[in-house]
Amino acid sequence: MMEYRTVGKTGVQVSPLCFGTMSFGGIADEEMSRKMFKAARERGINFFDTADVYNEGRSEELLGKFMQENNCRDELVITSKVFGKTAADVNAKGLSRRHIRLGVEESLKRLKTDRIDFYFVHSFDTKTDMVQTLRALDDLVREGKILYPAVSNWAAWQIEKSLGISKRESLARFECIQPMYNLAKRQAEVEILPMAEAEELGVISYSPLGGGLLTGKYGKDKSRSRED
Amino acid sequence: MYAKRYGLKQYYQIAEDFSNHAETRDVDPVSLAVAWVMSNPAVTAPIIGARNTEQLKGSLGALDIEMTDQWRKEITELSVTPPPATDRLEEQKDISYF
Repeated sequence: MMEYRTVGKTGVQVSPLCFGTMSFGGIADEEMSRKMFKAARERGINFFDTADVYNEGRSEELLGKFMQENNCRDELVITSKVFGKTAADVNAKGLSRRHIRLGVEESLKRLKTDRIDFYFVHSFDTKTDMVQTLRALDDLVREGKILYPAVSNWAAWQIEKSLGISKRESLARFECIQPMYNLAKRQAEVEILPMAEAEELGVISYSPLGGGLLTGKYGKDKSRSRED
Repeated sequence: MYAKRYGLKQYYQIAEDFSNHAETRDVDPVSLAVAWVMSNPAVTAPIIGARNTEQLKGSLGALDIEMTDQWRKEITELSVTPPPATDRLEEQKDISYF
């Protein structure tokens, strides 16, 4: 029996593992991606992470396709992200209201759904006023296109600043964060994780294997030269 | 990108020690690395990725590992605990989730 966990204080229950679909439509072709989706579902995984930039949208497309094939969208908790460059156009990137609006519409189309459960800003945008970004996300929440704003790869002070603004302006706040965290990379323990506990934020950390470092290939009698 | 991100020498020492630890305990290091993250109470769910079903099986194996406080501590000690935000090492104490 799977022990589900609550994302922060949202009440949303997720499996204790989130399946990241960065390989879908990239290093994993459609058939292999479908097999992995099925294997994850069979182990009770209900939580799937993707992003607009993964394999130029193919990751979102395949996740959308598999949800449709299995008629299971309503049983899943899905994420996507916005920030990275998605087209040649100079404005097709960042956290401006303009790009967030275009970004979410495109992601929803590829995912073949009318809503994204957790919508992440993928990185910090030094060129855009934080209030504008938070208002744009709040509008999407009000429209039901995203259910919760979330944040990845921001420093603790940047997230705290945003939480203060969200509260002051009565905007939907970031409810979940996505930091890097593994046995080799423990910087998150200094500020990020204590902040998450204090603010009751959900934490879905990435790179648990340290980019392959912790897979056992650097053990005794094994070559210490990197393969990639 | 990963070559640069994980370029520090200390990471390879951690990798080697961790790998040997997993071997001693006779567990798949992939499952164990994920289980270590999963057992941190501040973490809701680690994100696991894979390029094929074989790799995915290793990460999903974390669900079958019963992590204890003692075991978690042993693994944590193979690594380097980052200094506190104030850099006052003498005041460093176990954070609540250890």
